[in-house]
Amino acid sequence: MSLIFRLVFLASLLSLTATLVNRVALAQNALTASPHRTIRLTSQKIILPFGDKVFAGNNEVAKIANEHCLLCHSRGMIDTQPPLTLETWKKEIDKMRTAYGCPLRADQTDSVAEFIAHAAGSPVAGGN
Amino acid sequence: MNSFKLSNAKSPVPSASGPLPRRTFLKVAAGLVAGGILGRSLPAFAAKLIQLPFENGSRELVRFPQKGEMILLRERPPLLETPFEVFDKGVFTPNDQFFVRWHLPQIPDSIDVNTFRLRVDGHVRTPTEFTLEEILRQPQVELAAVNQCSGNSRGFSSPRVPGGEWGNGAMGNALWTGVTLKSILDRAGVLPGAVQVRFNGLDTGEVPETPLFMKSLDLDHAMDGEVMVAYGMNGTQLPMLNGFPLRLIVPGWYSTYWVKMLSHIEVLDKPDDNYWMHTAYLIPDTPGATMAPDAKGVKMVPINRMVPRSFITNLRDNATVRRGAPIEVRGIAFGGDTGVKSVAFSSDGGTTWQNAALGKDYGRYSFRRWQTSFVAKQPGDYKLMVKATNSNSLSQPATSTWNPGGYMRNVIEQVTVRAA
Repeated sequence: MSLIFRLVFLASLLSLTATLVNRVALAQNALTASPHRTIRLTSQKIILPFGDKVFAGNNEVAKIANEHCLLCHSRGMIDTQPPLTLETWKKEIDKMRTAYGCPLRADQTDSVAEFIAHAAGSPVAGGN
Repeated sequence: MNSFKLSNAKSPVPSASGPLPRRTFLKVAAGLVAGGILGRSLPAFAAKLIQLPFENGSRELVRFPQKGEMILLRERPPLLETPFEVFDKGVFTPNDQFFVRWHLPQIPDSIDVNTFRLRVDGHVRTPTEFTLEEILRQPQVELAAVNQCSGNSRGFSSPRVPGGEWGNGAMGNALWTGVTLKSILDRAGVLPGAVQVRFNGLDTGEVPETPLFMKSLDLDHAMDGEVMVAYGMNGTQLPMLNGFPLRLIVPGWYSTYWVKMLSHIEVLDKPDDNYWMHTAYLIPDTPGATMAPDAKGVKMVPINRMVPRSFITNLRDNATVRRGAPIEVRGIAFGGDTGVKSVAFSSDGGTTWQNAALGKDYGRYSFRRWQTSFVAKQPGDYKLMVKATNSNSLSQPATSTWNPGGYMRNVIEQVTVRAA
């Protein structure tokens, strides 16, 4: 075997080894289901929109609504509600406070409910 | 019609808008101090509006990561509805337009397939942590099943109720691939005395007081060999927002049980009394889950099996049709917790009915396509109606049900077209 042939052979071997190593590395990052349907799982990363719309106003209740209501959800939740009575808004806000841990004081519920009901972008239903 | 052509295997490209704050309280407060507006609106949010057919139904069309054009209800936690025309394109709903519904705001923005673990513990012989590789190695099962939000169509409730104000697009049909829940539980070894199995995902609240979103199934149900832990959706991995890497599939039951980013399975030796089983997602314990809006003291139970529904997908309300020639009408139907027995169509507001032809059967939990035709002999309005009956002979009701959660709407749908 000539020296050149041996060098070429060695280079091929190295290249093959590199390919194999590469395959293994890929396989570690792409898990595959078998046998009858191939589903590859690859690590994922996304960046979700935050929903930055806040309530206008410099008064205390606007500040409270921005800091408390928008803590856990964006304004879309409020803006897409149907016309609701003030009583229903109070119930909803009380649910946020008691069931979901919204750090609002009980005595703030009424003023926030009135503020939200008018800011919601839908008319307040009559009756209350 | 084939899901595999529709399914979308986009690479995980982050949004071009740059990083946005995730920890809200201080940042919202800081933003307010700094001038009231955080000012990071996404370029993709250039408002393209549509109107859902109820009061305050104006909605933006948006694109979220790994998703196509969707109807926006709420950015955080995301509520995204499938535009209804998608349902006319095929029996399977494309992953990138499959509806999205999260309850809690802290959703992981990255998942590493090598470090992710599914933990199984509680009332079991051997508490076990599964890698994704171990799950992929187990015998694979596949099932076509409809995933529908309990409150799909809530916006049509009359009187209206608060909540996620969906049109009819909080539903979708996919071919799910995964392993049976039974095989996972068998590996851990359920101990005698177990009564329920509880599921939790990786999402959490903004404050520690927010109850973790956990749902439970009775042990018999969990072990029925149909409930599945899925890693595949229409032939590819799930989008992050639909629950990557693992989602619980509960065929025939409402989506509230289909826990996303499933990371913890806990076998319970007493019934689950956590908030999401005991207080939220309750329905009246009455036929059709209906009650009078002013009724008091109605017994409430956790929502469970789905009921039949059907939709016309190729004709919209107020569409103009040609007089004198056959008009094709087609759509989708599903039986709820069992298959579709028949789909009846009426072009005269429900006075007379004819059976539609049913499309290929992908299994009893799947959407089923249907098709028929009618001739509009006279000019004027035609009230088209469609009614599914399932294999248990349960039909869609002629009048709307009502409950305070806005759950389980399945009244016969109608579309009015004008013959000219």
